[in-house]
Amino acid sequence: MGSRYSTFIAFFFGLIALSLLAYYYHIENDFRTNYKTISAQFNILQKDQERVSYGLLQSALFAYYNQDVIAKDRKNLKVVIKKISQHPLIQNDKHYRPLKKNIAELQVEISNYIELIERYLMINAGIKNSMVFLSTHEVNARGLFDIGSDTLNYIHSIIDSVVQAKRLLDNSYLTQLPEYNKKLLNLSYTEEQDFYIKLILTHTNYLEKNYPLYIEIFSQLMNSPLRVKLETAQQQFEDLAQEDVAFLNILAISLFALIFIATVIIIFLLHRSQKENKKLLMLHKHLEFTLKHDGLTGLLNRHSYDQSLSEVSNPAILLININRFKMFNEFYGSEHADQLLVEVSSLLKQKFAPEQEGTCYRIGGDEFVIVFEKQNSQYIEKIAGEINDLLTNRDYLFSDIRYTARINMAISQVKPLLETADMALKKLKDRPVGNIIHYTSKLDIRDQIRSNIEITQILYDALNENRIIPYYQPIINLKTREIVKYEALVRLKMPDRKILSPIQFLPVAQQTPLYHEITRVMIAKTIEYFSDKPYRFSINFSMSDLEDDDIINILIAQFAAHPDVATRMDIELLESEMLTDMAKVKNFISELKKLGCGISIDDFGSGYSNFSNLTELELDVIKIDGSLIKEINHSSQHYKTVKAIMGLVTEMGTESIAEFVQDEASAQLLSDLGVTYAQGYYFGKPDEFIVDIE
Amino acid sequence: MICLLFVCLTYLFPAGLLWAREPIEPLPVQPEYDQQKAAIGKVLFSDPILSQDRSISCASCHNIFSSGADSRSVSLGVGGVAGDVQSPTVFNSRYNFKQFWNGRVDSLKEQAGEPVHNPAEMAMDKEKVEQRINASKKYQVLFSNKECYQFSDSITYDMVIEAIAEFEKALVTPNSKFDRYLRGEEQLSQLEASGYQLFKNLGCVTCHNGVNIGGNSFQKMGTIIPYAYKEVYPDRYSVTQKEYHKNVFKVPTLRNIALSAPYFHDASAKTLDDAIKAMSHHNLGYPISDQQVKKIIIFLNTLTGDKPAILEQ
Repeated sequence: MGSRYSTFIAFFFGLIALSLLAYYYHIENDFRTNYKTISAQFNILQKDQERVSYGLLQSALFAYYNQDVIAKDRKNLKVVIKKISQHPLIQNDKHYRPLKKNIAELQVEISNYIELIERYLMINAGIKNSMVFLSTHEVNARGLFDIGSDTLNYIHSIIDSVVQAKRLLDNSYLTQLPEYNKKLLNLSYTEEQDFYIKLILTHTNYLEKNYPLYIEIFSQLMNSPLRVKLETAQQQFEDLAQEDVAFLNILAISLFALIFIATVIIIFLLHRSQKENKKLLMLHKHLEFTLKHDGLTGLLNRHSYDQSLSEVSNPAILLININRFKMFNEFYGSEHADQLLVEVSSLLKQKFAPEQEGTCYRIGGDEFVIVFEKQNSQYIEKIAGEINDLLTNRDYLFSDIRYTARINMAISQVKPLLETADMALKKLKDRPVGNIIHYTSKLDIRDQIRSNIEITQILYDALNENRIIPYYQPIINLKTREIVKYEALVRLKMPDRKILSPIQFLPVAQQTPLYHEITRVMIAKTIEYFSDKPYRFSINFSMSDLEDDDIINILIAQFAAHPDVATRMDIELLESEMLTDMAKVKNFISELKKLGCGISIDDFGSGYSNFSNLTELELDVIKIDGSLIKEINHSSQHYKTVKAIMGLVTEMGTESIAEFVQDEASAQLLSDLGVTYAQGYYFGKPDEFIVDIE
Repeated sequence: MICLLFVCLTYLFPAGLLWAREPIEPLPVQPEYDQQKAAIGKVLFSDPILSQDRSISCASCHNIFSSGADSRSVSLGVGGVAGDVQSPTVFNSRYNFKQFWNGRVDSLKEQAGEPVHNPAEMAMDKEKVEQRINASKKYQVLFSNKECYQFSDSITYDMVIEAIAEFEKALVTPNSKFDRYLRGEEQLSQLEASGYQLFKNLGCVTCHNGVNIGGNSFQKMGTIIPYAYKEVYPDRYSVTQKEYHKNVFKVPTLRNIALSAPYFHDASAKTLDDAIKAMSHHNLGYPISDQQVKKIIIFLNTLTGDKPAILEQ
């Protein structure tokens, strides 16, 4: 059952309960009004009947009596019973039908009762007045009849009987009246006496005739069944009303039950919605967790990292990268790679438990970030050392195979943290030793990118405006200390005549097609410059220059224009670059050699020289890389390297040049090692024009 | 102690205690009735519009400027048709327990309708009454009082009868000397007091009691010494067909009795003297002396009250 249905059912029950309540209120209100009205009328009837009864008793006993009370109350009896009989409840309600019949009977009973009262009042008046006559006119009798006479005795007896009967409301006292009457009649009287006796006899006859009736009617009134019938009818009404109340009670109970059911359903619904809320909350939490955490390792993910940075003040990050992870992944498969990540992650998780300083995120395949708040670099470095120990000084065991891991780490406090750290990490890969690097602005490749674009623009302008110019640096023979040739070095003259050295623009130029253009300019200008001079000279070529047909064509064209120049020219190939088309290069070199060009290899010892290539290139000279020469005085490592190179040089049967020679000590040392030529500031700075040494 | 309390009570409520002891009560000085309706009733009461030939009105047989009764033995209806009974007074009729000599109706409203319908009186019917009254500008205005008749568009028979009954309710004659005596406002003269004493002693008060000094019970004419029975008179028997109701009539009021001659249903007593003597003979079985009659007449004269206030308006 869906909650929608439950809601509907609760609503339905509520609605029924409400309608029942309205119905109940209506019925109950009606019932109460009707009950009150009819009940009150019954009470009035009973009270009136009692009052009438009492009034009748008074009228019987008192000489004077105001009959208004009886008149009013008996009229009222008639009015009230009519009202009851005409009440809609009695008239129309089936439930009260038995009462309707009884009330109709009661109406008849009441009109009988009233008629009886009226008849009683009629007789009562006559009886009373006769009694009064007999008792008050006894006095008169004294004057008419002798005291002690039979007449007077009979009269007294009559009065006695009447008074007794009246006092005790018992007509048995009147049984002797006819006898007294007879006796009185049998006596002889004067005319005056006769009138009086006849009057007395009229009254006694009246009493004799009416008194039994009077007693009967009076006792009928006093014992009227009306009282009982009224009580019965009222009781019947109360009973029927009680049944109505019982119906009302049933209604009220059903109402209660309905409201109860509705309440239970509502409670049930509330309970369930609470449960569903809990479920939703859990789901929400789960989703939030999924959103914030990495599925594989359970660490916080990149999303969380991005969010946390906005919440952390003064953040610093430590970026951790597993060395050669890509290789590991390809070699051992992603299953093991994942295991490694999980293992590393769990170590990091332990290390950076919630109460610890620093929060750990996995932001990429093998990249982890620890975010620190308000920490200095020494502290982070210390932590980095601990992490290094933690992750590298252990064996990772998967499927009984042991692995070790190496990591690189970058610390950055410069925003955008991740980019700067990543950049630093890239720099770190270029370094032979150490696996922690701090990001500083010097490392900023972003700046470099910006400058790359600028430099490209400068280069482009310079080429267009013919401001790429060669500078010439003398190369001397270390033994004779005589200039043997000049090396043409590229320079860029800025519009403000400032000169840019190649280190400032050549690395950028190498990434663009402009590089070959520079080489072309250098070839053209250098050959032009030396065409009328006796000196030998050299021009730098990159390996890629040798693959460029245009350059070759220019060179050939120049040689054709200045045939003697070819014999004075050396080609310096940059060793640090890879060869792609070895055959083409070899072909070019042999062509040049035919023309008399010498071939040398530049910056030997800086890149990964391919010795097999070297031997195939028919080299004449090897130029030892300046970074080795600069430190030769101070670093035994460099000295050893140079010495080893010299061994190779000797083996190959070529000559050698040392560059960046800055002092006599270096020159001497190199001379001792058997280096043939040297160049450097010690011997002469590059310049736009050659000044003869002589 | 109890005596002291009694003295205090007597001192504080002398009038109340007096009334309580007497079988007669004074009339209310200001009877309750609807003044608006009664005012219309007053017009209707004297308007012959309610009789078929527009010859007579209620007032023709109930002289409200005298005793409220008819001084003729028998009233005359439309076309001079004679009625069957002497018109009883309309004054204080609201205090009668029933209306008409034979008490055939309970209320004034029921009573007021009968003469209108009676062929021997006004000889009208409901529709004719409504037709006539609605056609009358006067009554259109009179019945336009929205306070009383807000639910009616036209004047109904019921409204007419109700107004007459309401007027009759106002026909109360308070402040008779006897009432003032009962209220403790005035002393009866020695003769009046002895008349009243006689009234009680002889048994007149047995039937003539209450606020209307009568009018609260039926009584047989000739209780002790029979009174000649004549079928023409509308007695209680004509209503109930019960033998013992022959010659039974509603006990008439004695208020303003000195003004309302002739007396009895058959107008057989032309004077109070005659009436008292007849009553004493037939209903008390007592040979009343002339002296006693005089005393009672003196008492009965104290029962004449003020003219109804509504007639002065």
